[in-house]
Amino acid sequence: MIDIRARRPLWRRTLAYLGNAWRLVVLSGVRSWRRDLSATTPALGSMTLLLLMTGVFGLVGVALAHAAADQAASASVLDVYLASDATSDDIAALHSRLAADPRVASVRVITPEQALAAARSRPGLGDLADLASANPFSGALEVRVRLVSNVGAVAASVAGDPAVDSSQPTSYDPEAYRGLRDLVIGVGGVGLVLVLLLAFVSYAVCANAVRGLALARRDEIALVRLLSARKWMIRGPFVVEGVTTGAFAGLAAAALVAGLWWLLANVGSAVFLAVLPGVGLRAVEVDAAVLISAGMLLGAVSAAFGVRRLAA
Amino acid sequence: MLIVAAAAAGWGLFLVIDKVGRGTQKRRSPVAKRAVSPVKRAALQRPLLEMSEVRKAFGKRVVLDQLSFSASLGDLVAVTGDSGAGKSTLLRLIHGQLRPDRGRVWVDGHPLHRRFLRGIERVRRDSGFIFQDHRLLPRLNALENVIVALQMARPDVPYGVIRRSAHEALEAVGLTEDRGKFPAELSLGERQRVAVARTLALRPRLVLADEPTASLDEGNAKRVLELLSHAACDGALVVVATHHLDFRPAQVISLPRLPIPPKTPRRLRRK
Repeated sequence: MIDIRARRPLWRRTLAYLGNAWRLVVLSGVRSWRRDLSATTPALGSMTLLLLMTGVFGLVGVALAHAAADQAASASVLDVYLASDATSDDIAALHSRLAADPRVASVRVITPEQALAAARSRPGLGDLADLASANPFSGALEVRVRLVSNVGAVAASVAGDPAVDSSQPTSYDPEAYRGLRDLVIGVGGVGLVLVLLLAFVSYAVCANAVRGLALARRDEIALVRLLSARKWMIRGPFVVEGVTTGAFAGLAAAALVAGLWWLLANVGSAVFLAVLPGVGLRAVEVDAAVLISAGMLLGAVSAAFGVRRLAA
Repeated sequence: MLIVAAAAAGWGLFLVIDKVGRGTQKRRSPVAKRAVSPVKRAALQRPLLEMSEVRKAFGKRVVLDQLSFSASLGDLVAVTGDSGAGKSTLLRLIHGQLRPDRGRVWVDGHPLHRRFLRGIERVRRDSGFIFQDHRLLPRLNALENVIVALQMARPDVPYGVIRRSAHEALEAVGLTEDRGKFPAELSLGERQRVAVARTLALRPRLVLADEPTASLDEGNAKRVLELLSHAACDGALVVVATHHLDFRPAQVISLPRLPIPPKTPRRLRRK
């Protein structure tokens, strides 16, 4: 009879340990997953739905980020109105001072004619401009500030300059900016709460599904504990099952999100541009990769914590 | 390139550690004999299994009381008694599945009577339990049941050795042909023989068999008892709980059926 207790070299024992761990955890987990597929289906469905929601939220988030970036770009433009009696030297001095400011990205001179042409292109303003006998717009400097948060400081720095109109120096409206900032913080906070809530619900649903599967096999778990199985031998296959379920749920969710995106982009492009502006194929690819990874992570974590009491 | 270099370095490190480890073992062995402390020497000379004044009750029902015995490696011990006398309870106490209410249980130097069981995994790894209801894993076939048990108890043994050992164990119980069958496809006797093969393939130092021949016909029962006797001859301590003494044990522990306390009506207890 083969002596199973014979002393073997360390390298042989290490390799054997790794090989047996692979068989006991990975292969056994995949085999259990395949055998329990019918029992796993509800967990798979729940995970797919939650990940689909996450994926759609992700694309909406990308669209919101694009919109916020556009808004920030337009909000960071500050018009400095020039005084009607400002000399060209004063204007040149102000231009060079602003251009040298590290907070400023660029400065462009807008002549009264250009200001009038821009006003004519805006609905309503064109008619008003036509009613006036002379050009009502003065010249201005269009200052593009690097950060929206610096717009107020730049506006304050130009007030009192001899080249600037003393009655209305800039287009900066502190109330409007404060409102915009509050809106961004509010939307971000609500988004964060929603993401945390979704993560908690996903974990709870998946952990309960895995715990249900483990409870159905508690006799087997009790037996393998009596067969001197280590904790990792009991929990490992469940984690592999969780990862496999999560990967499949992530794949299904990614396929559904990609299908939805393709449908909106190709069939209802007008709706798509209104609902998800700036969401391209690259964003969908990243979203799909995140969904598959999140599914695997969710499956692993919920399985590891879901069976910890049974395996202990 | 970096991975290959890391793997080669790791391999080299393993070989060095292995060589150093074996070298020190060789050098240490004669010294170690002299350096063993008196406490450790006493523990090594102690019988593998020692129970003293053990009491176990389930509620008010006392199953075992004032039970004391000891047994060493190579002993074949029979535990006899009527149904409900506490044979299975005794085996579960030895296996660490239960804790005694009073008294002491020492297995291989490990105190299993303590609240916090230290070294219970080692005790279980070195012992095999043949359950009365065989308890095979239903999703695995006969061969896989034996292999998985071996892998769990001895993960550092190469898979090829484990597989050959499992084949041998099934051959020893006459189940070579049925190794691919699942427990549901096997008869009660065949399942019990798989359970016996699963335990004996581990070559444990302590074998606990809870009525291993209860569901077997005469021929198979004889074969299983022979295997258990061989295990004892090979140096294992074998404890068999049985109704019928069909073999020659070195020691017989006869458990009396302790009286069940009469149920007192709640009305009388209040008075």
